[in-house]
Amino acid sequence: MKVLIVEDEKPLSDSISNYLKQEGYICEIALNFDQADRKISGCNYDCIVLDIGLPDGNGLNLIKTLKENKMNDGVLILSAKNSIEDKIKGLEIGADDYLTKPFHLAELNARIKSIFRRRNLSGNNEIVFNEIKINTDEKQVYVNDKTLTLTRKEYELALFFVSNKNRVLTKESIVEHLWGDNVVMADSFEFVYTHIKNLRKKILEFGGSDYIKTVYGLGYKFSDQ
Amino acid sequence: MKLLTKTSLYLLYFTTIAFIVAGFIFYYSIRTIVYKQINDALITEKNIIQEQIEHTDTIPDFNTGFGHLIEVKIFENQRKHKQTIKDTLINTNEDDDIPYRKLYFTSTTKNKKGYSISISHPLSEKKDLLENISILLLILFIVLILIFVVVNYWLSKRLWIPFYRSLAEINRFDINSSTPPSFSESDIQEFNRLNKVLENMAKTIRNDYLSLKEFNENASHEIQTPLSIIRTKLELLLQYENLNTEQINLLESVNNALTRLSKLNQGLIIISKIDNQQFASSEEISIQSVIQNLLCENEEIIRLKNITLSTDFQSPLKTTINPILAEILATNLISNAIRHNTENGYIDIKTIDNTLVIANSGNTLNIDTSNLFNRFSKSSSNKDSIGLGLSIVKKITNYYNFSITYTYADLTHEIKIVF
Repeated sequence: MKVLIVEDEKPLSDSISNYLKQEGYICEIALNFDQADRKISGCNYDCIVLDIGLPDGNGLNLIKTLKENKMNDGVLILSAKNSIEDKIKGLEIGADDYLTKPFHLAELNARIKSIFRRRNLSGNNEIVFNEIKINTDEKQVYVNDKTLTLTRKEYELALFFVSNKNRVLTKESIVEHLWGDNVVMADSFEFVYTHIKNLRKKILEFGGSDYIKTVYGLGYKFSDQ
Repeated sequence: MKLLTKTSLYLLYFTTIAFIVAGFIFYYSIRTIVYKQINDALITEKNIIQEQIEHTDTIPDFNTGFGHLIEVKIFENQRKHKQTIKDTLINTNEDDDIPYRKLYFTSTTKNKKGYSISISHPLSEKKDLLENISILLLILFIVLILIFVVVNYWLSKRLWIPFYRSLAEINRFDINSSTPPSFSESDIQEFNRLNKVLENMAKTIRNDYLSLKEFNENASHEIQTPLSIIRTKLELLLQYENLNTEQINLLESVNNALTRLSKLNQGLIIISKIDNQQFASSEEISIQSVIQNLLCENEEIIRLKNITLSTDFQSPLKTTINPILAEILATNLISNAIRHNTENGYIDIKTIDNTLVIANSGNTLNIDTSNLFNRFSKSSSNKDSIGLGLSIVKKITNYYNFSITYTYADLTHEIKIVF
C-alpha cells in the first residue's frame, strides 16, 4: 500500500509517516503543493493524506487535478479549519474523508484503512486477527467463525482496536472515535471501560483470547504480544 | 436632572439674586439723588434768605406755599455759624406726623445779631415717587427673569438638537454592524468636533475589535497545527514498549493537559466563528428532534449515572437556526445537565409553545450565577470543564435573539430558552 502525505509541517508529516510505516505502508512525503503535484502525476497512490492549507496552494486543487486525470487515488483531507463548507466542498469534488486537526494518529490510521476497504471493491472486506474476523460489509465480528452479538458501539470499538492492533490507544482517541467531539469527556471514560469490559467478555465467551490490555492511566492496547 | 432643567434653574437662581442686588443698589442710588435734590433746594433757599438777612438786615417775607415751612428767628446775642440737614416729623394739624426734610441754620449778622433759619420740605411726594419707581422696577425685573428663562429654555432646546441626534446615533452603534455610525453636520462647531471625535472613536474601536477578532481566529487556527504535532508525537512516544510507570504517569499528565488544551481551542474557534458570522445559513430545525438525537447518543452515559430522564414535548418547537449551531447549543445544554448532575438524579426536558426548559438535579454552584454565562466562569471543583460551554450557548442565543435564563432552586438547575 502506498500513501502520500501532503503536509507542510515537517514534524507532523514525519509523525504520520512514522505511524503508517509501522502498518507496513510505503509512505512518501510532500511538503508543499508543488512537490505534491509532481508526485501525484508521477505515480499512483492508494491514499493521499492531504492538508488543504498549503502555503503555496489550496490542496483542494490537487483533488481536482486527480479527478481530471481520472486517477483513482483515495484522498483523506486534513484541515486546521473545522469548516463545514470546506468539508462539503472537499467531499463533493471527490475526497473520501475529512479529518480536523488536532487528530489522533490512531483515528487517521483507522480512516485510511476504511478508505482502502471501500476502494477495494473486488476483494473481500474481511480483517483477520488470529481467531477474530471482522467483516466490514456485514458489520459482523466472528470469533472462531461464530458470530458475536455486539452493539453498534462494541462493533466500532472492535474494528478500531483491530485497525490499530499492537498500538497503545488513548482513552481520548477511543471516546472521540466512538462518540465524536461532543460528548462529555470525563464521564465517557467510564463507559469506554464498560464497553471494553463487555467486548472482552463476549470475545472470551466464544473462545477468543483476551487481547485487550489496559495501559494504566493512558488507555488500552489490543495486542497478542 | 436634565441639562435644560438644570440650566433653567441656575439661570433663575442667579438672575434673581442679581436683580435683588441690582434693585437695592438702584433704590438707594435714586434715594440719594432725591435727597441731594432736596438738600440742594433747601440750601438754595437758605442762601437766598441768608443773603437778604445779611445784606439788608431785614427778614424777608415768605409765602409758605408748596408745603414748605420756613421760619426765621432773630436773637439779640450772637450765634455760631452752623448748618444741619436731617429728616424729621412735624405735626402740622390734626393729621398724623408727616415726614419732612429740615434744614436748620444759625449765624450772626454784621451788626452782631444772631439768627436762625429753619426750612422744611415735605418728603411724602418724594417717598411716593421712590415707591412707584421701586414697584415698576420689581415688575420689570420679574418680567425680565421670565423672558430670560423662557428664551434660554427655547434656545437650549434648539441648540442641543444636534447633540441629542448624536447621542441617539451613538446609542445605535453596534460593534458588529458593518455600517459605522454617521453623524449629521450641524452649524455648531463644538458639536461638529464632538461628532468627529465620536466618529473616529467608533472607527478605532471597530478596527481594534476586528483585528482582535481576526487575531483570535488566526491564533486559534494556528494553534491547531502545533497541537497536532504534540499529539502525534505523544502518540508515537506511547508506542514504546519499555516505558516505566513513572514515564507513563508523565505521559498521562501531558495527555490530559493536551486534551484540555484541544477542547479549549475548539471552544474558542466556535466562539470566534459565531462572532465572525460564519454560521450565517439557517434553516427550519425541529429543536425536539435535535434533542432526541442527542439523548440517544448520550443514552449510555445517562444510564451509567442512573439519571432519570423525562421528556415532555407538548408542542413541536421549530425555529430557524443554523443546524450546526442548533446542535452545539443542544449539546452544551444536555452535556451540562448530565455533567453537573448527581448520582441517581434526574433530567426534565420540556417544550411549551416556543420555550425550551431543561431542568436537572445538581448541587449548588460555588460561583456567582450572574457570571454563569461568562467565559471561563466555572466551579473550581470540576477540573474537566473548560468553562466555555455556557458562554457558547449565550453567544448562540444572542446571535439569534433568543432569551436565556438560569434559575436554581431546591437543588434543581433550570435553563429556559425562549426561541
